[in-house]
Amino acid sequence: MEPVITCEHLTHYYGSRKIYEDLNFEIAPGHIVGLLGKNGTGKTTTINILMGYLTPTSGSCRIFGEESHRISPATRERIALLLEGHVQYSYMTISQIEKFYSSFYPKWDKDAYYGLMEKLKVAPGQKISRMSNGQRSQVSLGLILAQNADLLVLDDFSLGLDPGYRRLFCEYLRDYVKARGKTVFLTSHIIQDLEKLVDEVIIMDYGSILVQESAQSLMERFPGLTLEDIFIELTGKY
Amino acid sequence: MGKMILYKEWLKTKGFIFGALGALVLLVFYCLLSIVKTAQLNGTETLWVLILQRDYVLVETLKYFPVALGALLAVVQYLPEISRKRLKLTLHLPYPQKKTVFAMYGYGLIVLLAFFAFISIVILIVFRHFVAGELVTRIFATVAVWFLAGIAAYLWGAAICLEPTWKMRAVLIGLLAALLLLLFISSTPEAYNRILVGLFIYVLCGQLLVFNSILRFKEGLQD
Amino acid sequence: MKTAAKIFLYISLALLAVWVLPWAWRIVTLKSYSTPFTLYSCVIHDFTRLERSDSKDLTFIDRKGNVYSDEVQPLFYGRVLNTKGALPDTLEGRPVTLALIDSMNVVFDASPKDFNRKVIPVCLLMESVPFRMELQDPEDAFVIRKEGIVLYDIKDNTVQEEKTKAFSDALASQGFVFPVAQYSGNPSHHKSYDEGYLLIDSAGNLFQLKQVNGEPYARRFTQADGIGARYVNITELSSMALMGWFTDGADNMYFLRPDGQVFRSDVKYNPAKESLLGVGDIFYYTIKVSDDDGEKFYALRADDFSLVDSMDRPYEFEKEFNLCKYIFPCRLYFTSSKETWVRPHFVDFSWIGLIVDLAAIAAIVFIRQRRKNKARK
Repeated sequence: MEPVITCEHLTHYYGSRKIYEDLNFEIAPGHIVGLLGKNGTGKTTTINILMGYLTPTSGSCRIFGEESHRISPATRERIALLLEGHVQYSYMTISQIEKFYSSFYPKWDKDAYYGLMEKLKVAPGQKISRMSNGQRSQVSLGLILAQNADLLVLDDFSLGLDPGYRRLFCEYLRDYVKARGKTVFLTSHIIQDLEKLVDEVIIMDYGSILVQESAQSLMERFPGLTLEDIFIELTGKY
Repeated sequence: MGKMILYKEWLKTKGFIFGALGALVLLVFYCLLSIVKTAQLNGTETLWVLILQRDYVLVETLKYFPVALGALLAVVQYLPEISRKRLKLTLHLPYPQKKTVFAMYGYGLIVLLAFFAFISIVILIVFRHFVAGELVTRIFATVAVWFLAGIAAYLWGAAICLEPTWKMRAVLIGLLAALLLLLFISSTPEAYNRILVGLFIYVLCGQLLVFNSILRFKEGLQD
Repeated sequence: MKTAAKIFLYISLALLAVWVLPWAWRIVTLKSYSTPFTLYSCVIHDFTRLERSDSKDLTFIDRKGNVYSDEVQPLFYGRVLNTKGALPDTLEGRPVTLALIDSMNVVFDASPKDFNRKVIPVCLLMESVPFRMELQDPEDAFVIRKEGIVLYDIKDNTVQEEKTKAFSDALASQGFVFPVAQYSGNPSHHKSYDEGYLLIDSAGNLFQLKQVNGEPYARRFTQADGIGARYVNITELSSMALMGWFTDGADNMYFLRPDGQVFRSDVKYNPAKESLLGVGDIFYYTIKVSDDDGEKFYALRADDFSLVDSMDRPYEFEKEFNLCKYIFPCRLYFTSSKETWVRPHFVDFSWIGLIVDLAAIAAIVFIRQRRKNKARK
């Protein structure tokens, strides 16, 4: 089966500062892949390159076979994007934002969205700007799930969330993805959240990939350690 | 789908639009009150004399409204897009990106044109009552330059807001300042008649700058 | 799209550079320059220029360098001389009094800006013979259209059909051919009398139109027929010695008397490019025509505007270092003292500046390319 995401010989510099060089990885369909790394190792850089918001110094990325800086609208329809901090159109209400997004996605699942919104217990006319971080993350999650996309790209999905909302987010996402066989590519600072969520892990260090393997085999290689411990072991303590 | 882009822009800017409309109504009311009072106290012929001999156009109160409207509309419309890089969400929509961008600034231009149409209708209705058509034409020819300034402030303002680097923003701000200086360098009515078409084309070329800023945003350029 | 935007940006920046930077340089290096007031003297029959002596007195210097007091200009300084008891009883064989001098002294001027502007085809029309002989604010206006004129009552903005027909017929009876080529009038009550408007028709013939007791008065200046008038200016001088002046396509200047007499002078004057100052008295008119290069003076007899003497005074600017010539291929400006139009003027083209700029651009491109290649390595 053709990989959903392919990155080849990816190299990027910010000015004279090297982020990474000759990065190569693939993501197969139906997998939940977590991209881990310390601050500044290039996680958000990779997401930006994948989504066409950054031109790499050299190398290329393809999503569903298309060059990442030239993704067609039809392919973008198959990709759900979550920006770090659950950034959304905060001047809209939950009903306005649903009306807006649903017009772009023919496979829009209204029930998936409003099912999650019921748990929010906010008025339909309340603006997103007046919600807490946790409530905003639920709105973002609802929008992503309703899009019924084939690929979900989540950049630092746990940013600003308390443990309760992080757990809610992870559980909802896992159930949804496993039931529908979606592919997920996500980054997060909080590694313990990923332990029960991801199938595969890519751990980046400054300039390169340290590890790309299934979470299960990684845990077997480091018995008795949590994913967080393994991460620190591999990347070294600060 | 294009209509939903307009819907999004409307949700973002409707508060500002209503506020600006209120301000415009007050300005127009004040302007018309001055004209009517002048006509009542000094005779309608005074209006003819003011236009013909003093180079007034009688709507000087509105001179800077279009440029302020254009600049503020650009800020209200595009600053939220740049704040926390929400523009990424807009560009990620499954709709051709050029059409998305065109819809966004097209909306702004439509809003501006609606305001300018309102001003034009008021001028036409009120002044046709007081002075000959040739003098109304003079007023329109003068006001057209102010409208151009409003469009320039909007398009250039959009490009400035969307531009990711401060270096290029400074260049765009310098160019906009020079363009506005040119558009207000003379207060003589109809002084711009000979270059109005050229100015109009140049101002509309500001669309290229909007696209350029977005392309630079997509390249990930930063300070 | 990106290429088009880059081209647009570079062109805009280049235009900005050739507009703002030379302007800034000129502001910084600007020096004042003035020329002395010059008048033809009926006493010494020469041009005299006005200077201040070391003791701050007014002195007059002729072309040979001889120095005189204000007695060499008795008509211009009549009042001063009269208070000193130094006003002569006769000049040029003619008895003169202060009252006569005051009534005949006139000044008129014109600037290219008066002609290089958008002309509104709407003219306020005064009553030239008012009831109490005091000029009143106009109550009528006529609008000049391609096929004729339309009279308006400006109190209620209504077309006066009868008056329109009357005025149109009056012009037609004099042979006026529409459309109007150029016109001049001064519908202000801050003057002693009103002569309405001087109009040039499409055949280059000169006419007068005014309102007398509510009726049209139209006159054709037959002595101006065939001259091909191009620019006309009404003067309405208090002395009533001159009604106006006009020029033809070859920049010859003609003077117009209220009785319809037309006098061709030897003055060469292009109203669209040169400034005019006329100072007249009982005997002579000193006409100054100035442009960017200098001033030309003409002394004309007041009775028939024939040339008595003339003088050229080119400007003597210091040849200072012009940095802009070595940096910019040209200079751009949008406003001029000679017109009200805002439009681009490209002047002072310099090959040196062009070569310097092209070399600078090539150097910048080369350096940027080297930096890019270095970064890639």
